[in-house]
Amino acid sequence: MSEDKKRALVVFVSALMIFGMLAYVLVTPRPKEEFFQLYALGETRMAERYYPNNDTNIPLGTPVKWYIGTTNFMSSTQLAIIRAKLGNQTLTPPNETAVTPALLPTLIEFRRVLQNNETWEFSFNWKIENTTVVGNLTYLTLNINGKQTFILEVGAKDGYNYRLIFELWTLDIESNDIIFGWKASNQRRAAWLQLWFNATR
Amino acid sequence: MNPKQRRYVIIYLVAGVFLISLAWANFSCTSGSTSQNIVPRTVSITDQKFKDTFAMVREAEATGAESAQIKDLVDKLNLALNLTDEAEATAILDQVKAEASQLRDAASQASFYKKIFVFAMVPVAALIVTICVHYGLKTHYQNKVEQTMKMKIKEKRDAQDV
Repeated sequence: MSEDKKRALVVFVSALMIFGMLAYVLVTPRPKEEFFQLYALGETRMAERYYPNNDTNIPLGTPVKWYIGTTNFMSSTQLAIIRAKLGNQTLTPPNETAVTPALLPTLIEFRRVLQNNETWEFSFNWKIENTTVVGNLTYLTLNINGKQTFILEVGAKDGYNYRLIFELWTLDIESNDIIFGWKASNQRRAAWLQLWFNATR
Repeated sequence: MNPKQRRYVIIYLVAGVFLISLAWANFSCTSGSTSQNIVPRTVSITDQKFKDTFAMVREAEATGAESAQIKDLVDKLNLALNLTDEAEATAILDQVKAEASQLRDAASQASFYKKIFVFAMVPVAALIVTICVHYGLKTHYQNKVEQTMKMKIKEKRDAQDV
């Protein structure tokens, strides 16, 4: 074999390997970090003025407006479910490490299918319609987005330290189940928010 | 190893690399679609229907369907989610499932052909590079020889002039 042919063969095999690797990189999707973003904004649609007059003591019948939003960074279409729950100071909130939701009744649920990189924001309007005092515990009747709910399960001492909890749930295709948080790279993750308030007369 | 045997080894090597690339492309395509299988469970019909439809949309997306086409399906899914009329929601879900299935098949085929094309272009590109390098070097050496010859002629002419 002449020197020319040997050189051409070496060049061809080298180019074959390089282009083969490039082709593989081209057709293989790059792994990305997969997560959801969950946020709450005040009535001005900014991270401020969460309460009327910036006072966490909410009088009866005073409307409160929040914006709850979530963004899908899961690199795929996802079903996002946001569950709103009422808690107090002592009831266990969701646990991000153990990925367990708060064992509280769901007041209202919002659902939407989101494409990758899509943000979904909706208004969460609520007010305290009524308070019922039993002993030293106060129980609330809330009006959320026009729907009235009496929450029998959660009372707070003198109406102090209530919290509205927002949990993000998703539909897991593998288990065909609705799960708290989401699954990314075979690991469970969770996102939740809480906003504290006092129910004063 | 005589030159003939060596030639056979080289041909086998190149053919082997090409076949491995094709097999890889084929494997990537099939593994992408099988990983999306769902496990059926006993839930209410509408819920299960929604989950099946959603899974089908995800499959279509995973096989490489275009974002605009997926958006259309997602919009319909959201419409079905917000409907109170169960019959209407079921009809929409059936429609979305059928469309997603068609989209998945088309996207899967397109994705497969794209991979085949990309890997088939590998030896073509390598060949083009080889030819370019071969003739590039040949021209370079030829120019170098011509330059040397011209210099020698010039030196000789200068010596004769003197």
